[in-house]
Amino acid sequence: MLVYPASSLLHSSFIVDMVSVFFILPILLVGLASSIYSTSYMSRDTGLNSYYTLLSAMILGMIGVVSAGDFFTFFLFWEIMSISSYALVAFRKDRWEPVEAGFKYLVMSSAGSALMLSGIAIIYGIAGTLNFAGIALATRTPTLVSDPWLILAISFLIVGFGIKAAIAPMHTWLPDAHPAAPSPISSLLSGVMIKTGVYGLLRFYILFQPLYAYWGMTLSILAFFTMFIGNLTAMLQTDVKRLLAYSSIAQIGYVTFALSIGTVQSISAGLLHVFNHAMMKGLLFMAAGALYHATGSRDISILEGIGRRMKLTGVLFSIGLLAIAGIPGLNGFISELLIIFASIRCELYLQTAILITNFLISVAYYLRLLQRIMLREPRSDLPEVEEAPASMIAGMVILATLCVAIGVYPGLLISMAELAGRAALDIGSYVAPILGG
Amino acid sequence: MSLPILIQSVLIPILSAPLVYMLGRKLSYNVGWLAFAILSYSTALILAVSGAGYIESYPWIPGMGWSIGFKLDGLSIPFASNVAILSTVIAIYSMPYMKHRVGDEPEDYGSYYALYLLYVAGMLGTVLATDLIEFYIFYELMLIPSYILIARWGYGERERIAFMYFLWTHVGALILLASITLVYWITGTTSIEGVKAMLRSVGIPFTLEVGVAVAMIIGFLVKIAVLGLHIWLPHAHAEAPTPISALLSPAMIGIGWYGVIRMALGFFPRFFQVYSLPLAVWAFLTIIYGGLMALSQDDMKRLLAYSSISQMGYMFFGVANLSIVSILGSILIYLSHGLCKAVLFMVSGILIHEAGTRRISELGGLASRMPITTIVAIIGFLGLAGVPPLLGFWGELYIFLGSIYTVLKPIGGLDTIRFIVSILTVTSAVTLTAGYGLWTVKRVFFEEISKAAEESHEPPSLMLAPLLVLAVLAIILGIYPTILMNIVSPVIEGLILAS
Repeated sequence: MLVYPASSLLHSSFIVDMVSVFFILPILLVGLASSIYSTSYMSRDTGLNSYYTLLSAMILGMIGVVSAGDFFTFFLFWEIMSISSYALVAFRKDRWEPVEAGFKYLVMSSAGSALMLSGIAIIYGIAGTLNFAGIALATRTPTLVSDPWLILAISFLIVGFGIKAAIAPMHTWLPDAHPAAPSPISSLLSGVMIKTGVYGLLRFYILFQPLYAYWGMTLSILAFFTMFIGNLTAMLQTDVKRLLAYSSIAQIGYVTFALSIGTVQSISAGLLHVFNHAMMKGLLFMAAGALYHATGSRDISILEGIGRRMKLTGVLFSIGLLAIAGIPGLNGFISELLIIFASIRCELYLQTAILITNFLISVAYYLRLLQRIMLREPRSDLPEVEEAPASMIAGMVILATLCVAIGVYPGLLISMAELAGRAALDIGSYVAPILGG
Repeated sequence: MSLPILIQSVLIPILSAPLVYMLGRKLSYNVGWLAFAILSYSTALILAVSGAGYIESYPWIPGMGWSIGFKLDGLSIPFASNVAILSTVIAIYSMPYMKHRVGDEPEDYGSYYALYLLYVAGMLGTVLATDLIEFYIFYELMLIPSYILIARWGYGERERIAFMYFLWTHVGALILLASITLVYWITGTTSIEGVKAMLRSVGIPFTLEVGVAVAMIIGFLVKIAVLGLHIWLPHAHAEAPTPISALLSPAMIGIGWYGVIRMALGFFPRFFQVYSLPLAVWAFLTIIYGGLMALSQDDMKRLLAYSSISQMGYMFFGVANLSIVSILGSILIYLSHGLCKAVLFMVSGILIHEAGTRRISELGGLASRMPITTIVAIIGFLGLAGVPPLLGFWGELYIFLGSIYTVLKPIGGLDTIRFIVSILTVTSAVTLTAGYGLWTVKRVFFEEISKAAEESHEPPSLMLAPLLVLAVLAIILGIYPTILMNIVSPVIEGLILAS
């Protein structure tokens, strides 16, 4: 665990433990892939200097959020991340859709940030410190459990994180913003940025030890709501990126459910799914972007059979779809399996059945998408298309390789996830370096 | 550590699939020979170690205690060798067939054979796996390529049917996965042998055993398509490209029974003992249903699909009766059905290729135009009906001997209900199968010469040779089945006597 500055109850500080590492890794991987991808995807656009600045700022913000050691630092990076992402969603400002989507995102996300800030203020009032370790110690007093202020503060935080993570019913910005953004940005937004909300939930879920029971139940109800909304709505979509956006909501539901169980196994499984989903969804949005780049359309009925013309993109897209559908041999299967394992371990049979039902529903629409893009005869009015440029392919190949490699040999990542799961639940060693010096 | 033999037989088809796909553009039609060479190599490896059995194990995810292992023993030898041999000869048969189906589109050959190799590797991996998670992974690997093969090169409403096939079997697989998870938490291991040993020594409450066993069996029965869970089968098998039908029906669905015998029966013997009679009745109904539906079909491939349901019912009856002899009979039926049904599906492919139709009412009198095909088709149907000296005869004989043994076993004397069920099954099964088989032969190959038959003649030798190989195998094994029985029976004895 890396702590800077070493003894810092009163300073702004960074704490990087295994949990943070497990979030930083996908952020950097997807960040790298989408930067490579952007070089040709964005080549027709203007204002590229501000594009890459904003992109870097967003990645910086995300890394800052997951390594912050106190609420001040956390909120600072949170806003860096959010503001740069508003600008990126609305980057193609000459068209109406991105501007509207960006504005909607701005309004909802700022409301979330404001609520979060109020929550932080109340917690400061109760604990007298903004440092995570300090708060963990201060809220350990049993009498605080029934303190209405603390409960209010935590509700604010849940809503703040929930909006960013797109947990239903706070998800409504996502299906507009993710499709409207340029595709490399969509893959960062859906792949990793929404996970910072999950990180927040996980971190504070564990920091406020006495409130375990409330958190767990609230989270699991929200989780099921989220996965049903995501999956059922995704079935109805005709826009490929919108479908992927709804599928992200469903996936967040799975992760939230895993966190809500709160055992080492379930949290490691959830973290593993965070990592895997980053790879898969990053890949899918990039592939959808490559199709859009070639045809100018995101409508599935127009894109029918295009996989037969753009073979390489089509194959990469299929890998992503099969991975996210949880097909064994690819990475999504491993983490979904571990979530099922963890939940059966805690004898949550009903919940497991609901979870499996959701996996099934999702397979239906992924497969139908695969069928329409890859197997149908191309439409007669499909414009002549060429294979995507090399740098776009390169970005996708990075992620696709990881999807396959993790699926075939998940051992290393599973043991890392287990370390992260242990670290997440081990408050003692999280608190020690801060208070020790 | 033992030599990596079996892992090669599974991994080489998987790893060479991309190569085959890329070479498909260059070699076009001839890429089939490459696939044939690869599969011949796998088959040779499997047959080479079939005599004594073989086991390999490799670490995979040490943290969870999962490993990848491949095991060839008396139970997996018939399944693995059947899959390997069928897929090898059908790779040859596919070449002229696909030429007829897609013409000269070189890219189609590449994707077809790449998917074909993956599909075969999935089946081989499933029957060789030693770990439940590994088993599940290969079990699903069978599904994806076969789904794409049907959706892309099938007939009729192929996309809808492929989708239906996928959903049915995927739901089945997920139910299976749920039971695997439960087994894992009960025993703390996913190794098949480990689970078996743990369950034997620990002992679990009977209600829990029933729950897990039902989930596991349902998972397999969907793939097998027994009555009630069979809805997808007639569609998928009839509309798949014919070489794939010739793998789906003879090789793939029977693998479900491998799962039941290796896992469900090994893990939960008590469940089978208690529910043996209801399962036998279910098997009886499956046989009757499949046979009657086969009788009423006019589409040759649909007829064969329903006949597969009926044949799977035979195997079900053998397993449900729980005696060493009857289970041995089931495994012989798997092999015999595999050889004969593959022959028959390939015959129906020849009909599509030559006469341009698979409607029985439009065919007739083909015997004079294609005598060799006619003889092979007759051998195929006689094999299904269990006429000596074909292998099917031994399968049926053993199943019925075994069931009568179970009838007589209870100490209180004769078990009347069981006796009635057994007699009904024996008589109706044989009559129905011989009935639809011979009647079909008569309608397709004899009677007066139809318009479709006038244009037809013997197919190219590449289509005919695979049929002859399989038909000859069915006869040789029928005359000399002892080789098989010696390999298979020790394992089944171990399985039944240990419970």
